[in-house]
Amino acid sequence: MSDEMDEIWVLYADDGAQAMDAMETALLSLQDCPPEDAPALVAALFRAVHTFKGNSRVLGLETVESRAHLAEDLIGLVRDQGVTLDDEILALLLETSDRFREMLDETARNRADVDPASTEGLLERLKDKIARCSQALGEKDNAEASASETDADEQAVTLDEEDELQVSSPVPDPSDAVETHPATAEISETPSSEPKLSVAENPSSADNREPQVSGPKLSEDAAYLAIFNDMVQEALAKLRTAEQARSIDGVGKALARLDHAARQLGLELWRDVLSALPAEPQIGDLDEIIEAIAGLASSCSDIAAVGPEMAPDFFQQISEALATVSRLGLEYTLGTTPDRATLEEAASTLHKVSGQQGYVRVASAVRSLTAAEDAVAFRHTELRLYEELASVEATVSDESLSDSISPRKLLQKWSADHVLDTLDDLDQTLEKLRAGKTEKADHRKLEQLIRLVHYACGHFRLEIASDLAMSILDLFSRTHMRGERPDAILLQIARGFTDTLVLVFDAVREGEEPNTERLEELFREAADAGFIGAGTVSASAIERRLGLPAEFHKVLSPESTRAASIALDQGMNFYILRADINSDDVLAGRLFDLIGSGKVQALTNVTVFEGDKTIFDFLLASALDEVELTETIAVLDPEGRHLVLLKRLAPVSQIQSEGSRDAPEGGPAPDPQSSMEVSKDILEQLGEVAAGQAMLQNMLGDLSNSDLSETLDTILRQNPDDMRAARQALRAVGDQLTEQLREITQLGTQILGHLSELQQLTANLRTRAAATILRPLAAMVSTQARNNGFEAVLTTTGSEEALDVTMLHCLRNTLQPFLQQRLAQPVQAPRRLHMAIRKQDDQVSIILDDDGAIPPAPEMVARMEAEILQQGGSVRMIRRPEGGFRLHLFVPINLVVLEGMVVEARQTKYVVPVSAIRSILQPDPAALVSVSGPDGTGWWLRLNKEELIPVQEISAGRAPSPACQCNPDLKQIYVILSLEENCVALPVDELLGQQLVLSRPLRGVMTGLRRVSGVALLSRGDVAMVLSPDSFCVSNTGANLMRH
Amino acid sequence: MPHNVMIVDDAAMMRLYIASFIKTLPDFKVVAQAANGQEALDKLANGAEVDLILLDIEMPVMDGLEFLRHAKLKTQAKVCMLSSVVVSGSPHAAKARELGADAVVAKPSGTVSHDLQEKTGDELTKTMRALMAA
Repeated sequence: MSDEMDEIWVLYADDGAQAMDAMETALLSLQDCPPEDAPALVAALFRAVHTFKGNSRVLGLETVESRAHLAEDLIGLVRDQGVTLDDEILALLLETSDRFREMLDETARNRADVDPASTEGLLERLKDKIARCSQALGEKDNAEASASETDADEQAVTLDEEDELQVSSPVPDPSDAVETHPATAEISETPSSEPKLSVAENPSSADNREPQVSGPKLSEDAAYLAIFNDMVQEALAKLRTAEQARSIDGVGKALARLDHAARQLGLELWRDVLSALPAEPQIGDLDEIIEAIAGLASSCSDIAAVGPEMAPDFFQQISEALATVSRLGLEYTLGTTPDRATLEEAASTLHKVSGQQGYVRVASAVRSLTAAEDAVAFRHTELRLYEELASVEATVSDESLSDSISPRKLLQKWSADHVLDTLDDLDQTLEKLRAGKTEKADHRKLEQLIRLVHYACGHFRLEIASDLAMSILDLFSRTHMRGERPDAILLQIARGFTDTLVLVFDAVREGEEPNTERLEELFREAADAGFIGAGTVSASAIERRLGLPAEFHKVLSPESTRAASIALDQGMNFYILRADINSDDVLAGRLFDLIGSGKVQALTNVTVFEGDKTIFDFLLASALDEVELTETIAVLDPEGRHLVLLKRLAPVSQIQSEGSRDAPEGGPAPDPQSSMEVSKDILEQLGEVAAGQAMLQNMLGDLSNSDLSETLDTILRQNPDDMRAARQALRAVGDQLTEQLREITQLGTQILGHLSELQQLTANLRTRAAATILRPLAAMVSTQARNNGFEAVLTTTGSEEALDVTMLHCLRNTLQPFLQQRLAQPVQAPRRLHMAIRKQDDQVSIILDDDGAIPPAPEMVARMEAEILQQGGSVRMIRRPEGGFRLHLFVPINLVVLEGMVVEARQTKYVVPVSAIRSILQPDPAALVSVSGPDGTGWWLRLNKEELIPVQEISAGRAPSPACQCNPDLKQIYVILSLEENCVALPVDELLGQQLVLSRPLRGVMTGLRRVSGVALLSRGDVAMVLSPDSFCVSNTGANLMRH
Repeated sequence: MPHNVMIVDDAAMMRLYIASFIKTLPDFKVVAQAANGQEALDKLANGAEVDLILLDIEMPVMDGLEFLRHAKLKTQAKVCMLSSVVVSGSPHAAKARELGADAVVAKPSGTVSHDLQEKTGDELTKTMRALMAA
């Protein structure tokens, strides 16, 4: 017996067993079910017997098939003719079910039909019951026919209604309605429909049915054609894979299965073609074979009718209706309510055609379309319809669609046209999420918006952005499903995504090559987000350290990663075990018992395929060495056929691993530096802080537990007369104490260092270049002006300023509508605009100049002012002397992390921003020059032959008398500040060191402090004033920087 | 009435683990199982009435993504990808979303996750219920 026949018999046994299970379940449920559930159960019962009958027929089991056919007829009477399902029928069918199972076992075992004699009794009783039911039905029909003769018109109306209901059913049961496709004539000489066994029409037919072996061809049954079509597609896929792999494995088997099925179904044309193919195909034959099968599949529309290749025809059928819907949608958006009759006609066509194909989701979307009550709802459902149609399109080849519309492209185009609005909407939704003000509908909206962005990216062929959109959607959706709120990392990634896309789309629209580096970074961040959220290192780090084979790339879950990390720390051994256990439950059970015993830990496992066979590679961690593990496995699988220890891994240290980040191809994928590394770094820093804090706590605990007084007493008691010995002992105690305190101080300093690093990393996460908003605004100005029929240009400075993302978002939301309004009137609108952004100590200054003829609308300025005031800022507007207007916005920076030089002057500590320090000097006192002026004598510092700069005391303007003047031996330290072209020298008493500080804005009475932009908590716990270089340098613009 | 579930996974042990986990949930019932996408499509075509499909990705004959592509057209059943290759942020997870997967849950420790119930049971239950409530 051939392999394929073995397989078919196995399939027959499996399918039959499932059909019998379904039959029994339905019968048992029918014994005690509510009346409303009965129709569904009878339908399930019918399907089960129908399947069993069909499978028996395919294998030529005439006796089995004939009994199944009668059982199917009896159930059909109940289902279709209104015969009551009485106890007699139930009992008879239950008995039939038992006999079917016996017949199934016997036929599957012997691979031959059963002896008809053993089921003669059952056969007779089935026939008898069918005859009695049919007779009763005939009598009832006659009576009804006689009664209805008096009102024939009324009956006709009723029938019409029923017919219509049947036609509009979206998913006709293939087993009920067997339609003959016109093309069937090509392959079938008997194109008539299968004469369904209808006892009601032909009560005596059951008598002629045993055994019926020469019935109508299976090729007329849509269900079987569907199965055959699937087999064709499967065979083609296998052939194409074989062609790519240059391997002939499995090809013969696939063709034999197809030939067998064609023979059983009576598809003569297919048999002719298949029999003409080489009996033992070689690699070189594959082209010809694929061409023959694919050609026949495309030319036989009866086959295509039941498979995905129906779709091209489908799109042609709906194109007109879809165009109508599109037109109505556009009109709706423009304010014209669609004509109801036109819409319903188009919807009816779409519904009917999609229903015929069984495209239930398309049909559902069409229903929503007609229910839409306003333009917004219509747009929403129209998009949904396009999405569903795009899903259909995804199942057909591009060539097949060449003459049809492409819903996917339409969807992408629409999304691309509206992408800036979508991104804005997305931003607002993200903001609501961040603020925790979302409702259920917002999550749906969020997903929809991200999908629209995905389609827009598809239009511009921005694959990385398109994939990233789906990745972000996935992360949000998982969070939502778990009933959790998205964490800061995810929101940050999403924000970064929208910000970056604005730049990318801007570049694309300008015809430039977009910079997608940031998107790639975000993609890596998204990939690691789950791991960061789970508090573990990224999977790629473990992949590197273990040197995992490629098959394990990107499959380690956070749980597996954490387990692997612990196992690494414990110095475990790591192995790859190949396990062929899918068809051996006993062995699988033993393997999992071993894993459960704790001797071996299964970190993860992956599937590897050998043909259609599923095998698993397990990544194991164990304290056992290779020999011990081999012996352990040998106990489970003595012959070594199913469990094979493939290799022992050689983990590398973390340091080695970090060094191999950029390892060449072949090893695990390198993990380039990315901003997600920042997140990882944050985790590491937090870990260091937590560990340091625990150690500190421990050391302080030891100290507090030691009783110093008792120790001293003891020493003195032990050395009452020997002061020298007592002193030595006391000194030893003192030294030990000092050492402990020194270690504590050192540890404290380390913790502070980590905290400073954390501050910087956190700040980096929230920082973006001002270009994020400037470039899109410039693009928007040009575009909007062109749309309004004139040319305008916005130039910018300060693109490189690094600002907090929240502030950037606020600025964009404020400036964009303002500019749009400013450009609304073509005649008086500005033609040249300039925007300058500059960070000044504790605030950001935004200057917008334009040459417009009329001032900005007061309501627009008021709206902007309100928003900026809400941020604690201010707005000024002036008319420029040269024409046009200037708008000046100041927005405070709430928190600033800066690198500062901590200095002390007159016993007060100050932080000087390092970015403003030009140099630090300790000049000879002779370099100081006294200069008289209208305000009295001032001191100047000569930096070199050409440069003389003013000296200013930090706390009280110009220094009347620097300390060095009172004591010539004392060399004063000066910090030289420089801002643009202005310099000033600040005398300080001491430099305390450089550190990162978090500067907070001044509050209350502190706001009155001059030349101070904020306060900061220093690492030693002191408070320092953060100096404002602007205020020092700007106040000297009239006098400083005298060049000699 | 409990929601009908179909399990599609080529690993026999995994089907067993998932089925026994679902038995612990009174509001769900396993009504069909399949070892690959093609088998699952056949079962749907033959009238299997399911509300929820728990779908693996890496399977022989027809993988989960290909199944999803076809099945989503002709069934209103929700599809939850349950696979080891859909850890968050993975390309497979993104692809599944693109093809219309309603939910994605990663198996905790590989293709055959004996600890599914212990480690992911809660997440899977929440996800299944959220899908049915949607």
